[in-house]
Amino acid sequence: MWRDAEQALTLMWLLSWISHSMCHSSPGRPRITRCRSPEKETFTCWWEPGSTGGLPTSYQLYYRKESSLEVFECPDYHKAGNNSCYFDKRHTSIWIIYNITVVASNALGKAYSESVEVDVMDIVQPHPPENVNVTFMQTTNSPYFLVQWQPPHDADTRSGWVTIKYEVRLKIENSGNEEDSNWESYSAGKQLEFSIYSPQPGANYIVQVRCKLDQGLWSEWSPSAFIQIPDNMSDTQNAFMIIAVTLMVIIFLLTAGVLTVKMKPVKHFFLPPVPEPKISGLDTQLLKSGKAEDIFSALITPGYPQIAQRSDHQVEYLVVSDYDEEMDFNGKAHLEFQKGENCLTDTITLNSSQDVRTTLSEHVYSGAVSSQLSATSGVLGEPQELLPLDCNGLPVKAQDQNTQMSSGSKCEHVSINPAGLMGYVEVDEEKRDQTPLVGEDYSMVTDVISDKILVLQDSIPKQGHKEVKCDKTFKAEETGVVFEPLGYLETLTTFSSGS
Amino acid sequence: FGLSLPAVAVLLVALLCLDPHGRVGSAPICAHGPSGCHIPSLADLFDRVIQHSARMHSLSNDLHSEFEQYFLPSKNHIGKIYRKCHTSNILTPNGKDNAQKLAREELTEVILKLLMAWRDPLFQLHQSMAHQQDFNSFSSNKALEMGDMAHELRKGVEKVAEKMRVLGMLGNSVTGLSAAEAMLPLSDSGEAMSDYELLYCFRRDSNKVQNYLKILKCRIVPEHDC
Repeated sequence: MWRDAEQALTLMWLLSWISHSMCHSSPGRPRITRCRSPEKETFTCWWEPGSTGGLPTSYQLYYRKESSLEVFECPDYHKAGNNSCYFDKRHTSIWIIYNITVVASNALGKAYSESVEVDVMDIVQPHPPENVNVTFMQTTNSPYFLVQWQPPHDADTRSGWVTIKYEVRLKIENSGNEEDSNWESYSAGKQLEFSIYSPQPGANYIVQVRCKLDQGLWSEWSPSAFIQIPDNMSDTQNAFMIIAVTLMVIIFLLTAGVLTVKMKPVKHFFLPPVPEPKISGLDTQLLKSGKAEDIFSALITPGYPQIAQRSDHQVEYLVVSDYDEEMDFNGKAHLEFQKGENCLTDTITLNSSQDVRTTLSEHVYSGAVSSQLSATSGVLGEPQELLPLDCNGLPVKAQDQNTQMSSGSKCEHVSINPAGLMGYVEVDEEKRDQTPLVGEDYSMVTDVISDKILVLQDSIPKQGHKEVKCDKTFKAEETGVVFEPLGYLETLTTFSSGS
Repeated sequence: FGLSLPAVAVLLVALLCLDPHGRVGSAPICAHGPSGCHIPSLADLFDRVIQHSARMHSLSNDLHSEFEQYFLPSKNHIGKIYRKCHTSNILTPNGKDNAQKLAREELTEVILKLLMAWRDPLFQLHQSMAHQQDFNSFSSNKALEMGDMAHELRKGVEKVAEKMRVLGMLGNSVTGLSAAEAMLPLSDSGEAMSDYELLYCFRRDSNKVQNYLKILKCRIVPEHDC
């Protein structure tokens, strides 16, 4: 029995000893978590211990400086709390690499942490700014609130060693959902206060400030400061605004109403209509609505010489373009017919300054040559207007002063050229000596249309009947060659205004 | 007289050259007093120089972190740090107190020595970065800009020192200004330094220069910002 008990005891003791020894081990490796310098003059390193191995473990921190091999131990283990090492000013050198190792040791062994290399220049992170307070400033026009703070107490800006920069952030506190509203950040430079303009009335703001030294790391955000914006900001100003806006809306509506009602007169007032061209004695309404005969008879106004009268007269109109006078170059155009058989070689000079196009298009005629000769003599109204005729006597509408018109098969070149400096007298050669015009012989005058048109009677009616022969060799040139009229000449005598 | 044309020309030229009124001289712009000129004060000069050094340091910071990011992803380049910078021979104060204890002449001298020592290495750095295909042109332009900035900064600090001497703030014991010499970027063992080492060392030295200038400014012209 004793032997059993002994055995049991031995066994139990053995077991406990074994179990006891299996719980203890050398410590696990510690790990250096971070090192920070709050003002670029001192720094602190913290580590986290590994497993203790069940035995009381002590930690030491050893460091080496860049250029030397000498190993030093941490100067202060307590100032910064547990598992920390504080390097004071005497032991801190900037711009030098520190090689730091932490050793955990207990009765059973030691464990070395991984070495960490630190240059104080890179680990600068200041404390947050202090005494952050916010005040609401109610000025009349632009209310704002002012955020003020103090620099962290250990940063030395007075000697210029470090330069602090600040950042402010704020958000509106929503009692319901904190996550929804976002922070607004503002950079505040080196100043110690910051103004936020146009705050929301009735809102509750949270304000925080942080700082950094030179190019270092940002500090933690300071503790929050709160401010409540009052609700009734600048009532009178709001009232004025509302009244002004309402007035403007009313005025706008009134003008809109007036405009819609009185559209036409207002439009006429602002944009006077362009006067349309009117022909005196011509009734445009009749043109639009009347019958063909009415229109036709309306077109032939009593003031003009009638067609029937002129049928047996052979009249001759001579156009003299007097180049001594100051005629506008552009005002003169003459229509030339060149070549072609059965051509009516006419030269018609327009001395008017009107647009050829409008002049010619106002006169509409039709008919054969012979019968139209007189008809075309009924040239209307204004002096210095001529008809362009093509080969068949059909009036040609001149498109352009300088265009070549091909009208019909017979005539080939019809061109209106600016007459320019032309002493151009289109006169029948045979008749040249017969009818000295221009103020010398008035015995031939049969009628006076206006003060600028004289109707002469040709005493030799033999000419120009139906046979119209175009001279093939004839070329009418611009330069003042008189061309040979064949057949009837339709010319208009013009007297320049100067004579 | 019958002088030939070349002879006449020669005579004319000789007259012009010999005639003192024909010479052009240069006169300082502000010779007639401060009416037309704005001469910057010492505080202004200091501000400019400090801004310049801040820019230079931030450039070197950018380049260094770019390099680290792209070329040294692993942090196992431990051997890098124990190569000394070529400027390690220059004695520089390693903390605020040391810097404050240094006389202003010596501090100025240290700054100038540092800047002078980097003149050639920065040029070499730019050359080697420009030749390598790994760097993009942006980085090598930064290196060039950095070198120019260092040069300008040195000129600026020399002007500041000149002004201080004129104002009587610097004693005449400043011999170091002329003794600043250009150095070759060789490490202790005589080998040429790599680009990364140069960048690392310059980043550190530019931070030193910035700090020393600020200390100097607040010691000499402490009116604003100090």
